Amino acid sequence: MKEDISKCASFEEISAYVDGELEPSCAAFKHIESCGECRLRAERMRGLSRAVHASLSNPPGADRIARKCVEALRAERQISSLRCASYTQIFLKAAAAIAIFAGASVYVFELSRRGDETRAAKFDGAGKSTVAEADMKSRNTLAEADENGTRAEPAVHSPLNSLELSEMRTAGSGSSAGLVSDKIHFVECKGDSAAAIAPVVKHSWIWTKTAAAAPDIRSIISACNLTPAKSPEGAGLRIKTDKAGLVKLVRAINASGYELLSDSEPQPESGRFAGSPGDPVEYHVSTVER
Amino acid sequence: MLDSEKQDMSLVAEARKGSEEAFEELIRRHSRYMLGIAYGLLGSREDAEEVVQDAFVKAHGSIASLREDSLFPAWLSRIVVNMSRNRYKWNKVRGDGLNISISAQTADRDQDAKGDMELPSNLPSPDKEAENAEMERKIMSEIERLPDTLREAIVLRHVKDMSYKQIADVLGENIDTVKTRISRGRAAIAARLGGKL
Repeated sequence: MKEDISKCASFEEISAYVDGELEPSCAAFKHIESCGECRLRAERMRGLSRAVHASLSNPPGADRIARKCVEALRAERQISSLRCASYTQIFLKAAAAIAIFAGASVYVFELSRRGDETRAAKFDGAGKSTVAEADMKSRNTLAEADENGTRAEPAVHSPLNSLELSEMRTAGSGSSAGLVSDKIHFVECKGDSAAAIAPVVKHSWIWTKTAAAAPDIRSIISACNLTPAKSPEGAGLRIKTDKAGLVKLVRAINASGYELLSDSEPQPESGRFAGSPGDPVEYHVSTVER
Repeated sequence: MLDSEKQDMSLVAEARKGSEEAFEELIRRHSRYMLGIAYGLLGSREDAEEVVQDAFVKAHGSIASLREDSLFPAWLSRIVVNMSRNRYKWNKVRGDGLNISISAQTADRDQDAKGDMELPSNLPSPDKEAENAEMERKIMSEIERLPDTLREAIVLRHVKDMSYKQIADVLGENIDTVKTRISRGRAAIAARLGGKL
């Protein structure tokens, strides 16, 4: 179909013509080129376009905008680097906190686990004695011990002075050498472990299979100002004492060269005691080894 | 391709590799145009300067996402337009925005009627237009009064003589829509100035 180039261009076509966006091959373009009136309209449109361009092309502040942008970018870089450093610090602190928390959790879990074992432990010492369950809910502190004025002696390896040891050895028969336990659970007295033992708890200390060591042990018990009594089961001695007394006794025994070999918990000497202050706890030492 | 476009592409390529110098050179080459766009859309020097600064910071942070080096001017323009829109809306919420809009009747009037619009008699001739500050101020005022869609098309077209295709890319519209908006924008400005086209 032949294009009608006699028709004057529309406003939109004039606008596109001025902007160079009208196809030269189209009828509107050809008409504008040949029509004086349309050329005049296009010229007016071009004038307006230039005026608009002039209004927009020289905005206030144009001479300094580049400098401002560069400065803004550099400032942003500095802030970003500081922010990055800050984030790194926060990350490291968070990581440290998590590590500490995890460590503490493991520690608490381990304590709980041991406490559970304590509660579950049952000891049948030759069918004559049992270990009472320790109550997990109380982990008695050294402060509690202090409040009750029964703080135990510190320092495992110097539980008694040399004079006391000498006296105890003199008092004992020393005839327990060669005893070997069939159940080895080394009872070790550690530093402030006494802190974990309730001051009011009374411990029944019963040992069996220790006839040869009994005289020595009995002497040590006496040296610790404790009163031994015969076990109701008849296989050993029973000592009723408090926390401080028990710990002191254990230390004295260890210092004298004996090792208490307990096959059950609670083991107040090793800091794994978890008894409730009001609960009686039986502590069984199956053998004593020199 | 123009030499300036080749240089732009080279600078963009360097900037994408992390060259700060290259990006700062891009700032020097494009900031003026971007300020023109922002100023045309916002009508406020302070707002425009802030938008352009923020736009370059944003562009610097995301230049790695630019698909083609040659698209940098359009991409940067789109950032400026979008940020200007946001600022414009924000100003409107605060009551500081451009508060006069051309009526829909004016914007939508039939522009095909020929010969019913003439340029105002005081419109400067091409030789003198740049010197006529008063006319520039009037035109700026009329640009500010345009509806957003017309104003964006007019500004992009006249700040840097963007082609209709480039404007369509920046605005996310098709070329015909851009063509229509530009012609209507011009008609509205001329009408406000009391002239005929």
